[in-house]
Amino acid sequence: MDKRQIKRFLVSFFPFLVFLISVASPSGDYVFRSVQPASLQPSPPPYVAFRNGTFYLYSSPFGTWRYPGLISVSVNGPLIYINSDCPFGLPTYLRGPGGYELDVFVPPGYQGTCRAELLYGSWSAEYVFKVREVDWYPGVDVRAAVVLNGSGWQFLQLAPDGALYAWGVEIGQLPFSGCVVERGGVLAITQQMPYTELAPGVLVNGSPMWVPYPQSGTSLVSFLLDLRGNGTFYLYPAPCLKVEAPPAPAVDPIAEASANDIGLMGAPTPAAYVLARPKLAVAYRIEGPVATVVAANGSSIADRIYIYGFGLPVDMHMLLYYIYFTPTAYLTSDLVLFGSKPPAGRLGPFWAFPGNGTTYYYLGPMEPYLRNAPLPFGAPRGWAGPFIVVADGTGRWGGLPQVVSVAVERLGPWS
Amino acid sequence: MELTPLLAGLVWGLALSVARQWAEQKAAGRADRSELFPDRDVVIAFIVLGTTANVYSALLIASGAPQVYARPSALVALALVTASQLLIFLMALRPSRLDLDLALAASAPYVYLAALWIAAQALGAYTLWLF
Amino acid sequence: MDPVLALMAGSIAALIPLLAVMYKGSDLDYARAAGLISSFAAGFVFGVLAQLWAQFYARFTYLLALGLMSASLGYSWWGIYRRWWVAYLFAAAGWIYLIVLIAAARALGLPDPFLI
Repeated sequence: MDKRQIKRFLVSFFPFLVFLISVASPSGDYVFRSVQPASLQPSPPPYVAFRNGTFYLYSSPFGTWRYPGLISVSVNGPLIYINSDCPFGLPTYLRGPGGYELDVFVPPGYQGTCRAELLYGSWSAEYVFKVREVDWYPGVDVRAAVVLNGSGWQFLQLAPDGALYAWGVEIGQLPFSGCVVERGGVLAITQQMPYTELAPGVLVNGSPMWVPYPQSGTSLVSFLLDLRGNGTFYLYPAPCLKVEAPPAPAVDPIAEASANDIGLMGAPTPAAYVLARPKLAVAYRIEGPVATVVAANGSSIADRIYIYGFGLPVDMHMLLYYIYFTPTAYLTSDLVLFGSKPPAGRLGPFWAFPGNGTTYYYLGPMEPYLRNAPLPFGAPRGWAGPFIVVADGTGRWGGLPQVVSVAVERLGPWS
Repeated sequence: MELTPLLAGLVWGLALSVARQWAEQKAAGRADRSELFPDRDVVIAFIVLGTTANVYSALLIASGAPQVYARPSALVALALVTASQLLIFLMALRPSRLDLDLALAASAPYVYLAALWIAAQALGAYTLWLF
Repeated sequence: MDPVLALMAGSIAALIPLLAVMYKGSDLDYARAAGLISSFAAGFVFGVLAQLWAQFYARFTYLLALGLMSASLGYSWWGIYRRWWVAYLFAAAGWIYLIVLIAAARALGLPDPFLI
């Protein structure tokens, strides 16, 4: 064959080389356009240290610790394989081209070292994960350590702005709110109790009247703590856990109200001086594992009462009530806000009414028991409250707890 | 194989080959064109296939921006592809008897890419751009 | 559905016979030019239909449309080769079929023209 033939053959053959390369490569035409099969970008959260290709992670005894988007992978070629001996739920391959955020899920209680290798052909990138267990709730890097001093069971509630209430009385302020409470290495059962204003815009004693009401916008995180002296609990700003627990036993506020003459008032009528007792009817119930609320209201000729019975699973319960006194001005000699007989003593700001087995403690803006007063006095008018009654069947309750200290603890990276 | 760069190159190659016919017609007038341009069949095939290959490789390489441009081998490939396409333009618009040699010179990028590919397969690399 | 791909398909369908005619040095008269236009149109519609393969590959009317478009392209090319413009009327059969399908689908209020 002379030169011309060879040249003719070569000239018609050479352009096909490009198509042959594109068809015959294992990764197709990615040989033309990608330099690396993938580019990786680790983005650890502030409590995870990352040095020399090693992640220093935490695991929690309370649940799976999720690290979302720990490594961003942008795959340039057709495929990336992931080889790992970690129980983290990593996929085994990633298809390209595209960007992926790898989430790492550390199982509860896992400790140790493991590796993950991303590879394609002769390219590979390896990451080492060192995991240490820490007594912390997963997914949050800050917690409030609160030390309380008291005795007996305490019914605590946390408002969205961080105000801490015990038995409906504000005792302190926390820096943030959350729904996960840990005491002694165990998570407490928390319940979101929906609250609303009983009379919007009306202030009684300088505060609005917050009462439990189903399906409201504002919720108070409610939980129970048993204190013997100083006790610490940790609050994590995390969403509530789903709990399957039996509801707390309900208390009957109507029976309690009539047994303790709540709202009994002497009213002068044209015919005679009558002792008016409000007739109550149950309005609604809110059931929950920490507290079951039974709401009742009713009225008499002298006043209208809104009473909420909080039944708790420990041998205690609470009554919260607001009373609206008729605006008509008159004189009376009998006004009972609580009690079938005079109180026996005081426990801090509370008046104590011992009963058989259960001691009732009353806290309110007025004297609880006034019967057959020597001189008639002017009856109160308008809204009054909040009246709080704590019924203690355990005999251990020492009054409202005191906040000893509130500290914010941050989780930093280890090593 | 990506369809869009392939078809785009094919359309352009066919258009250039039609332009070459027109240029040949102008140059030859009434004379016999296959005597004047002896290898016109191979040259036509080269114009069509070469333009397709040039457009295809150029678009694929450009789609890997910007990481691909960091490799000098990719830039060399793009330069060779551009030069090859300019030679094809020359062949299409100014037919001459040297067209076969011009076509051989314009095949340089394909030989370069094939050499890179053989080296990449031998080294087990995942990309053509070895340097 | 990418119109650029369809345009390229139509251009290729028209440029191939044009190249063949000019290579052989034959005359490019009005009959052949009409054939080129017909080839472009057939190639364009074929390009549009081919991109819908994944959605309609199980429909008989769709497969028939694809076949008729290929036949339309073939007839156009034959008309260019033989300078026989009647071939373009055969090529129009594919068009008429598609127009009837689309009109029927519009009249019946169906979402796409491939009835069965």
